[in-house]
Amino acid sequence: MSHVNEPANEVETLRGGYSPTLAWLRKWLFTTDHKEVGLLYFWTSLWFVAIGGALAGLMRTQLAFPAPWDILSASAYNQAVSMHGLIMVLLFLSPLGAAFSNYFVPLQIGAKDVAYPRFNAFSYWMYLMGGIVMISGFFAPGGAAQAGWTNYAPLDSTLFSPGPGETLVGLGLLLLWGSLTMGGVNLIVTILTMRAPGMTWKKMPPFTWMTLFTQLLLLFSVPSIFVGTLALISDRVFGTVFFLNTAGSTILWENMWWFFGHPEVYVVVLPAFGAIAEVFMVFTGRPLYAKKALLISVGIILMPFSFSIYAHHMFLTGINALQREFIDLNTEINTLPSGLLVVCMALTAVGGTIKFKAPFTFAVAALVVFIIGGITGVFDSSVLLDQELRGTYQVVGHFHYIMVGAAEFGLMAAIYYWLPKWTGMMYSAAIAKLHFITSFVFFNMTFFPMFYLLEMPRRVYTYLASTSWGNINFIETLGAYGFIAAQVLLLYVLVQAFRHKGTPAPPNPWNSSGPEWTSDTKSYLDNYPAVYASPPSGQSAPHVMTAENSRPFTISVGVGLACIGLILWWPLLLIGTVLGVYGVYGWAKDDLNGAFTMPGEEKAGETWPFKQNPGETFGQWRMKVGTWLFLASDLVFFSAIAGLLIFVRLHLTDWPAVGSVFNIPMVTLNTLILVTSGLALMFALQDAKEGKGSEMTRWLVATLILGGSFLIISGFEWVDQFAKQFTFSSGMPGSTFYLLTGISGAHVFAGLLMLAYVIKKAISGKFTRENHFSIRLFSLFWMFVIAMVVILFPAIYLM
Amino acid sequence: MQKNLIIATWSWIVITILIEVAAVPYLSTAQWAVRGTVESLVALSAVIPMILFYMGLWEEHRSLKMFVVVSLFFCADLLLIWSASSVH
Repeated sequence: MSHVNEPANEVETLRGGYSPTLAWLRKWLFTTDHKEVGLLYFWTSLWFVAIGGALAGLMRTQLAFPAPWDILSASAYNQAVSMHGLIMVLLFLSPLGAAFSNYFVPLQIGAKDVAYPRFNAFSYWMYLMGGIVMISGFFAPGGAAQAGWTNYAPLDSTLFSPGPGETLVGLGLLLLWGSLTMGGVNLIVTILTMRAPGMTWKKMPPFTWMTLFTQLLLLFSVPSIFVGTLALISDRVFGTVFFLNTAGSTILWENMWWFFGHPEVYVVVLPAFGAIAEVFMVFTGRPLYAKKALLISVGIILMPFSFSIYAHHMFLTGINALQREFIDLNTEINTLPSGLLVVCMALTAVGGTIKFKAPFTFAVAALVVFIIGGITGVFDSSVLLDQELRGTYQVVGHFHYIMVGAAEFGLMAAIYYWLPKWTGMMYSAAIAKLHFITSFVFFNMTFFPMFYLLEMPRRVYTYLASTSWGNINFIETLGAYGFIAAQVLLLYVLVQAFRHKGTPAPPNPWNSSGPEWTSDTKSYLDNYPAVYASPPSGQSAPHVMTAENSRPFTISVGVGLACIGLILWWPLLLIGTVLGVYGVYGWAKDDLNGAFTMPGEEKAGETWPFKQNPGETFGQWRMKVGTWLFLASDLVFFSAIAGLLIFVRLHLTDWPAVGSVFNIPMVTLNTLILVTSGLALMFALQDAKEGKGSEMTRWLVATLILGGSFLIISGFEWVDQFAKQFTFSSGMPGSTFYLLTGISGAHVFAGLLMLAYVIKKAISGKFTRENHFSIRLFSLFWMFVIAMVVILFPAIYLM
Repeated sequence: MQKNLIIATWSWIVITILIEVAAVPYLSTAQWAVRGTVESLVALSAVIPMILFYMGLWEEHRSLKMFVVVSLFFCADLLLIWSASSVH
């Protein structure tokens, strides 16, 4: 039974049977199809690059001439440079890679969709809302954030950034971190568990491999800055003093930022390299040279080392000499896999029949500029040279060669390569060639001269005529104008193709052997009808995989409005909260009613390294793997909290004695209550296994009561501390206590919401002796939270 | 029997938390870093048997093994606290 020719009316039913205009809107607001979500990422990232590019144009115009040339004030320039960096790295480059990953990874591995389609849509909407919240600062009193894209403390504090712009950036970042975590889990689980039979690890295309590496990097780097951003928001909204004290607060922020910020460079570059590898293979007609060695070097060296070398961004912060040398050495070791990437691509081309089409020219250009960016970066990793180069335009030139040059050119290669697949249309080769030539020339004209501005400090909004920097800056500005103008050609190509103007593309215009070219992407909700011809066992009707769902959109809009409302206009906070709660309720209701069907129960191919337990369905196995991955990321989150506490304690000797502030017997009892809720839950699980439905429900309710009691007692504890003048702003001990207990409490609260859902299912009689998977899944999360609270208990109260 | 194992694991966590609290006066003369390390290790020892239990690494017929492991953790905790109590 093929789905390729699914009757149009069935598809329309899935689309809701609305009028064409509403159906179109509904499709893009509520879609959960990975291809459509991928396109949403694509167009949204282009929208953000238009804003980021306009800010870059303003900055370059300001710097075109020395003082007294003055089109931007110092404050406006600071806003432009800060928001330009944030937008380009976090709202354009990373999501552009995610656009390709969303669209092509399921196609490349032979999956029908991603593992969790609703969470995929949720990731996208949270990304968009995060971006809108960040940018809304431009409309706030005092303007947008001005503390640079790194938001260094104490510039990001209320002392130096009193306006709401920085707070909005912090809140937007929180939404973005949530989006990245969900997206990371989703894509990793998809790759781990949804590869079609025959799609083994060895056969997996390089782009999918690079997506896997990218998402692993994100999953384990984001928690650090997630905690950092929570501390920043806590400072700015609740008055804690993490970044307003002299106990190393600047360094605390830098550690948390760069633990994420350095791997983020690879997050941006690796998807581009995945696409470059695909393009090199297709346009040279050769297999990827030393693919295994390349993947091992990226997986074993580049990924783990990217976490250990982040402090090379902090050489001038006073870290000790031995540590600096160690980081320098590690950084240089990390250039080996980067070099190998270039060598492998080059050797792939040797002996091949090269077709100089647009994708290949952009791929080659990406490698050339990557070499320049890489070599100039090695200079910066030297402790000695870094003393001179840090904070100059040499660094700006270096990272633009990596981020704009290698990543953006690589992703442009991806656009030109996959555009016929997306749209079914070919594009004008002449316009693509003109786009390449102008982009390459103007890119180098903009950024290469920066290597000669070794004495010009970055982030300054003007300079004196006597510095002799004027001519170079003028050339750079002309280059920037040219580069921005060149992108109009790309926009023209995209608009023509997406509007189906021009020549229709054959099914496989490049004669690629990539699996994605064999799928029928015109068919909504089904990628490989030939592979998945049969419905799942026990089902006679055609299996409908995914459908539209409004909940991700509703919740995200609610959260976005609440964030903006919290800072700018309180009625929005109210509306957003109501909308968000309604969305969450609806999501749970959909689940209870089975209104949303997850991807099918097809048997996976290779299952290593996560084995499916006997009796466990494919969907349950996938949920379990996803939960474990999320908990692994959450473990890093709690580790970052512990790191924050240790850092603060190491830098602050004046700390209240044990028992002088907290009521130890009371908090011990409260912790034991939470531990006992775990006992009740284990009893519930045991009763579920034995098919004792009513006992199971009773124990679940007991878990809810005990968990709720923990929260209530914690609330009384807060009131008690406040009465003792131990408040958010009373000092670092207070700030640390409230952040740590607040985060633990938020976990418990989230767990109780899930538990309420599980109890509702139990009361509805949805659990049987054989199928009580939701309880098992919930108990995984709840026991994890208890474990974290047990570990944090002595750290908060007994030290 | 399975419920007995659950109760045993829960009891172990409760006992360990009480050990942590009871150890505070004995560790009061030690430096913060020493106290922190000891208390963290004791807290970890509370959690590890829980993880082992949850992962199904001991079943009914392996309860003796559980008893041995927990006893070892108990001894290690006391040894740690005793060692740290003499550090100034």
